[in-house]
Amino acid sequence: MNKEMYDLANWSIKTAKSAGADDCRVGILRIRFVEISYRMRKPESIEGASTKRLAIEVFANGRYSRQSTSDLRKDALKDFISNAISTTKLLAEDPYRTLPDPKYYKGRVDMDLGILDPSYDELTPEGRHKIVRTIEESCLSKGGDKVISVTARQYDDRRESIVMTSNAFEGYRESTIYSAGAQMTVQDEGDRRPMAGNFVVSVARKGMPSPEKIGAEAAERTLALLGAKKIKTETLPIIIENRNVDGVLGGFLAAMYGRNIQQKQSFLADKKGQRVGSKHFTLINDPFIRGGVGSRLFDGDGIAAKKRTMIEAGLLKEFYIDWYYSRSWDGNQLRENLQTWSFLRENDP
Amino acid sequence: MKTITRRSFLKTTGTAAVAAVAVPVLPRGWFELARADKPGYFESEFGITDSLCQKVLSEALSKGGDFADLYFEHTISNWVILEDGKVNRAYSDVALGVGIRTVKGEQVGYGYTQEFTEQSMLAAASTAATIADSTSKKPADQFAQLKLKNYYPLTTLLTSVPLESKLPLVQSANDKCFSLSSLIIKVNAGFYDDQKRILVVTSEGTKAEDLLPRNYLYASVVAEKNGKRERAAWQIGGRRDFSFYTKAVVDEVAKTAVDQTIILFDAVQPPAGEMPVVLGPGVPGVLLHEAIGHGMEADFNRKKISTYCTMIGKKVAEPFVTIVDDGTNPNMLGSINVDDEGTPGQRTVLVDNGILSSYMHDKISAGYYKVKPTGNGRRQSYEHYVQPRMRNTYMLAGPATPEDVIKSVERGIYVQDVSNGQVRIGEGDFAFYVSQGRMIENGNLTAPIKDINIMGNGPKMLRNITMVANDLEMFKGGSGSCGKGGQAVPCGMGMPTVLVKSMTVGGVKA
Repeated sequence: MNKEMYDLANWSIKTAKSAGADDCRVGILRIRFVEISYRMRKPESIEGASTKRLAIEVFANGRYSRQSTSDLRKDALKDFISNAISTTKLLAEDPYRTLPDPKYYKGRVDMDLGILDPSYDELTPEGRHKIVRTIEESCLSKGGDKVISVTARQYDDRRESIVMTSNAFEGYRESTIYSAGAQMTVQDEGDRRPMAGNFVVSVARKGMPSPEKIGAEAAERTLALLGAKKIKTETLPIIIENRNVDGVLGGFLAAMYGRNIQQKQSFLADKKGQRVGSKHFTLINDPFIRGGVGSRLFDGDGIAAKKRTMIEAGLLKEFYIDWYYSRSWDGNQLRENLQTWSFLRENDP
Repeated sequence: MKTITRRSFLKTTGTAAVAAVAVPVLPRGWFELARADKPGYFESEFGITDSLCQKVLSEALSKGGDFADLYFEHTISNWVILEDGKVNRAYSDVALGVGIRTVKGEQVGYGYTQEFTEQSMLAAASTAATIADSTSKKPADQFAQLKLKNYYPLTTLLTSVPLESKLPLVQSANDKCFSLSSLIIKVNAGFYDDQKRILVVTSEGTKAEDLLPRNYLYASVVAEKNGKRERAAWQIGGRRDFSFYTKAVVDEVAKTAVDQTIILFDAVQPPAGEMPVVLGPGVPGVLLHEAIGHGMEADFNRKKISTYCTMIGKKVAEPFVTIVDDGTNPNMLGSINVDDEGTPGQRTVLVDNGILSSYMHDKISAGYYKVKPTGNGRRQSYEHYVQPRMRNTYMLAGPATPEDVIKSVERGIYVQDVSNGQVRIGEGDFAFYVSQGRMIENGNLTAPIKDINIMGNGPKMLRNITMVANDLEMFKGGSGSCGKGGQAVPCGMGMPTVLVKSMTVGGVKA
């Protein structure tokens, strides 16, 4: 665990408590990234920075607020925390706003999620340029004389985050991420200029396809749009390619979030245990996939993560409930079952 | 993680309402505002001097390049939220940092830091400098302060408005919503405000400071009738002074949110197919923004990926169609006194009586096309470099009346509100979700409609506009953001009632 971040989180909690907070949760995120793009066989942009942000959730007099800042000068931070507590005390009381009972922090799985690439520091500036150049060349080569424009890109970062609470939760996460791809525009009939691309994400370099393959696939996907025509409006079977999973499932998942259920905005609110989809539809929420971009050992509340079957053969089995909505919705029963329910916290990215 | 060239108009809406809205208490703002209005905020608060800027710019140009600039930002945002009848949560954020850009032709080097120390800024400048590879270049010896017009004057700083003044506003919104209909079962309401201070310093010897307010009041409503639930939301705001938020504003937000929710119980889906579409005034301007505006951003044309890249000087619409992108509308969401690379805010005519007359330029594209920048160089924050972006994009009023436009349609739809749009700028194809509208039958507005998509092609839609009414209405919201290249910036829009003679409507009974 990064000592500087650990000390800052500890100091923030002490400062908040001494300024009048009953409880608080502090999170600090540090990211170092580099992003390079190429167009017309030369760099179009080169970008890099190291950033750090701190967020604090304040619980005071039964009230709650969340504040974040990139201004980490100690004096500024002290004023910031003090103001956060003053602000919180002006809000309406909310009996459901507390830190979780620490018993729910227990049971955290002890495993290496494989989300930190040990070879990250071996990636040199020239190595990055070479990857992007290769992606662009591969895309241009495959695209042939139809190409109008190709932009190739490589992004990578290393990030550390720490979460601490005044009731003894401590969590640390260190990970790497790589993203690379290309976007191509080609000339079609008349003025039509279809654009498509291919972007790949992985926590480890070895998980990335070769730059040649990334570029070629971007070109293939774009060329496939040539000659596309609008079809007649009618009702038809649809085959959905698996890379569209976020677009297809995003709206459906939102209906499973605790807030949307408690706020009567979900069509799934009273469907638990009922069939909500085809028997071919099973939805697993697995935080332990080795090398998974979303893998984690604890959720935003600090509650130990668990693998869950959300929908099994079309039957709705679980919702995504955080600590707050487990209490404000239908209190006791859910709270008792929290360990089989909780995964996402409100405003969790 | 950063996304790559994915554009979507992020139209978020909010809530509001009732009875005794407290008159805002504005005790501390005057003095601070007087201080803030004078140039030199970043020097007095953070020690950013001209000599320091020159040193950092020298580093940014240490390997050559055409020019470099510094973008200092200090933004404070606040958001108070009501749920379940009480204002029981608040969020706030402080963003402080400087972005350093080196430009060589169409190439950009960019670094940023959150620490205003010489060492950190030089390191960021060194990152930016890597885009160039020739001999060093010297920045200007002095930086002349630009004198700017102010399109969003304040009587008090938003950071000086006490929380006690915002809470009754939000609570009133909630109470008003519930008072308007017994069908209402849930209300979410909130007030958001941010205050962004920027300082742009260029190697060419200019500097500009601005103080950009942004705020809105919103209400989101869920109603239930015979076991069926409907939901809608409304918001009002912009670059406003806090005194703007009167009881009348609260009432309008609440009433619109409730009315738009209740009407959905009677809504039907129209038959699918090609038909005339009347776009109502105001919010449907999002279609103009998405389906047409993005294609006129100069970077897409410089790279020849926009369908408009060969159309400058050509007819793209009927002579009664004029479209502008304007940074000078008082208090509008997309107004800017100066853009994020130091070009003063201005009005740009994109389509002049049917002829495509200009793209929206930042300094890079202006250099490419050998024209003056149009003040469209914008960015989300110091963590992002400039791109050509829209400000307030709208179509000017035309000769017809709204009644004439509707009467001219035998069978079609009338669109009041759209959301969740997608557009492909290379082909110009778009699809939008219609969240509020009406059937048009025999020249009359009839049943409300919902849950349909309209699909078309931007350039074709522009050519197919056969009537423009005289009722230009600007969108009054404060939460509309436009996404492009992983960046969101606030944009305004507007539209008179127009008739598009044919568009694809995805309804029922296909």
